[in-house]
Formats: sequence, structure tokens, C-alpha cells
Amino acid sequence: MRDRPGDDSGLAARLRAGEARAFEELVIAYQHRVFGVALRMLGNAGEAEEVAQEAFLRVHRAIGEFRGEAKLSTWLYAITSRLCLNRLATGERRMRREGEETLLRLASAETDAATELERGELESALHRAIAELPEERRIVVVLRDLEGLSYEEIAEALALEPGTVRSRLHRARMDLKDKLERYLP
Amino acid sequence: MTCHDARERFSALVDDALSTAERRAVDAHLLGCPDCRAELERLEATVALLHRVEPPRAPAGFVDRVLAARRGASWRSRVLRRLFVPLPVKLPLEAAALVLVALAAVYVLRETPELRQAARLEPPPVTTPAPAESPQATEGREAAPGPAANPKDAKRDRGRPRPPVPASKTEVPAAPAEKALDEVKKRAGVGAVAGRLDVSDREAADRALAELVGRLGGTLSRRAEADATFVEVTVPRAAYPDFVRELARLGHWRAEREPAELPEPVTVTLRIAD
Repeated sequence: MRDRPGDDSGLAARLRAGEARAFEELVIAYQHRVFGVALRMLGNAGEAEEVAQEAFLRVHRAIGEFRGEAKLSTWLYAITSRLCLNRLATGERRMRREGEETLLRLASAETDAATELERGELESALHRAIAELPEERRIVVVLRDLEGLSYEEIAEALALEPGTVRSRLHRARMDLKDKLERYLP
Repeated sequence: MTCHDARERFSALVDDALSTAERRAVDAHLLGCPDCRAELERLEATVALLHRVEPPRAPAGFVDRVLAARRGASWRSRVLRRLFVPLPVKLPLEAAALVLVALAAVYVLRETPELRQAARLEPPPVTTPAPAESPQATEGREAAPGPAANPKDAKRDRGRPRPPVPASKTEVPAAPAEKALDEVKKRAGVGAVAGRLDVSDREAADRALAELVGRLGGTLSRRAEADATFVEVTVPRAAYPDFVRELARLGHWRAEREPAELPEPVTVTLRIAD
């Protein structure tokens, strides 16, 4: 799980003020997180980069509307999640056709046994298990267990009730537990 | 508390997200239920595994590409801001300017005889096929004369009445931007991707695009016009994500049509404009 970033209220203020360097700092600070969420959700590096880029451009265009009531990072995660879910909703057929190939690519660079061993069978199984979750559960487990957001932050990012976050997260983890049973002590 | 109710709360228990009362109830259940304790341990182990997952990293050059895309978007928004913002000031001024221009045009038209004459001229007729005439209309009237086969026929035809030519419909030309977009989509075949690429230097972008397509093992054909270049690119489907990513480095790429299922190979029709 990633370390959570520090307080970014100063960065938000500088972005709103139109400071030139502020946007670059934002992208540098959050590029891996935003790309990581997109990659976990879409399973395709090319699409993940498109969505990640679009997420930052939307922040740039809409920073005037950001009130600062939530964290800047939460807002960024919200935009990224929404873009991913929209793309999955409209491009589901393409995802299914490429999905199997991409899931395997994500889980293992090659399909041969030697590379599987090299990457770690466990890590491959983890990647595959996450990628196979239904997207409404996948996004919650990605934000909670991989990105470290709190229940309240996830609820805000996904516009859900905290109770819904809790139940979806529980369902997702139970699915993962069943898929990873052989790797548990 | 039943096993089902306790297990429904395990995830929140692991995250320390239960209320005090719920926590007490779950703990009390766990004390007396070894099966639930085992299930909780498996869930905790699963969450621990997830926390060990190596986080992905953005690809090299990602920051530069985002900044380049932002610059492409920025100049357009600057132009729009200069034209329309602040709205309460600029919009009324621009509306007033439009009204003044319209009034001036009407005044000049009224006061200049040559312009009045030109305005009265009919537009050139557009040839449309004549509608079929009803039997009653043709009764007692001779057929419309075609081109005469010989001079004697032409002389005879001159005296005959001609059927009326139906009024032509005036065509309304499409706006230039819509026309251009329709042009791109029309040129793109079924199953092709179509879009526009806005660049600061069309020639440089054209060269870079040719190099990119060559590198990806695709083909390219182009047609340059006054205000845009139309390019048709064919790339292997596997190379399409790289192609789109590189397009974003050349300028602002906007896909106007992208089929859900891409064919092999992918044909992309671009309109490159400054």
C-alpha cells in the first residue's frame, strides 16, 4: 500500500492562483497513484495513461470549482475513478476482448512458467484476482487496500454512502480471500 | 450475534471502522466461536497480502506528455477567456457591437443603389429533376420538347408551349466546422477511428506523424488543403495505444469516433489543423 501524501491544501491554493509550477508539481506528486488506479481498473497500460492524463487535465480545467472542503488528493481520485468507471461502462466489449490478454499481461509479463516464477506466483495471483473483481468492488478495494484511502474518503470520491463502501469492500475482500485461499497460512 | 452478522463486520473490524457497540458484540461472539476466529484470521491474511502488492509506476515521460497536453488545451481556453470573460462586461459589449454592425449594414445597403441591385438578383438555379406530372395536367398538352434531332424539328418545336420548370430548392450550406467534421467522418470508413489533431505547426506535426507511423509499422496517406491536412493512417491494432499516446505529444488529439471493437489493422482518419 502506498504512503499517504502530506497535506496538499497549499498546492491546491497555488493551483487556484494559477501558479505555473504548481500543476507540474501536482502531476509529479500524483502520477504513479493516478496511473496505478487507472491501470488496476482498466487492465491496459495505454488506456490507463490516457485516462490518467485526462484526469490531470480535468483538475487543471476545473480547479476554480474546487472548494477545498475535501482533500485535493480525494478530488483527484474521484475524477480518476469516475473516468475509469465511465470508460468501462462504455467500452466493456473491448475490455472483454482484450481483457483476458491484458489480465495475463498484468499478472505476468510472459505466459511461460519461468517468468511466472520470476515475478512471484503470489504477486501474479494477486494481480489476477483483483483484475477479476466486478468493477464496483474493484474500485473500492483499489482505493482502500492499494491506495490507503479511508472509508470516508472513498465514500466522498465515489459519491457513495459509507455503509455502501463498507459492504462493497467486505464483498471484494471475501471474493479475494476465496481466490487466494491456497496462498493463505 | 450470529456468525453471519459477525462475519459481515469482519472487514470493518480489520480496518478499525466499527462503532464501540458493534466492536463489543463482535468480540464477544469471537470469544465463543473458533470457526469465526479462523475466518477472521484468513481475512486478515488476505488484507495483509493486498498491502504487500507492488504499486505500479507511471511510464517514463508521462509528466512531459501531460504538460504538453495542458499547453495545447491552454491556448484555446486563453483565447476563449479573452473573448468572453468577464461575461457581465464582455457579453453585453459584444452583443451591442453585433447590433451596431447589423444596423450599419442595413444603412449602407439602403443608401447604396448598386448594393440594392445586387441584393435583388436571384441565386443561380439549381438543377433538380422535374416531378412527374398528373394525368390531368398532361391531357391536351404535348410532350416537352427535347433537343431537336434536325433543324426542321427545332423550327417546329419553337412554336410549342413548354411545360413549367418546378421551382428549385435553395441549398443551405453547412457551417465550415461541421462540414470539416462531417468530412473527416465521411472519409473514415465503417469501423475506422476518426478525429482531429490540433497542432501549433501543421508541417512539423505532419512530419512527426509520418515518422511515428513508420516506426509503428503502419501506412499513411495524406491530402493537404488550405486550412487542414487530412491523413489516413493504418496501424496494427496492438500498436494503436502507442499511436494514440504519441499523438497526444504532437498536439491535442480528440477522437470523434472510435468503435468499441477495433479491427485489425486499425484505420485512423485525422484532420490536422493549426
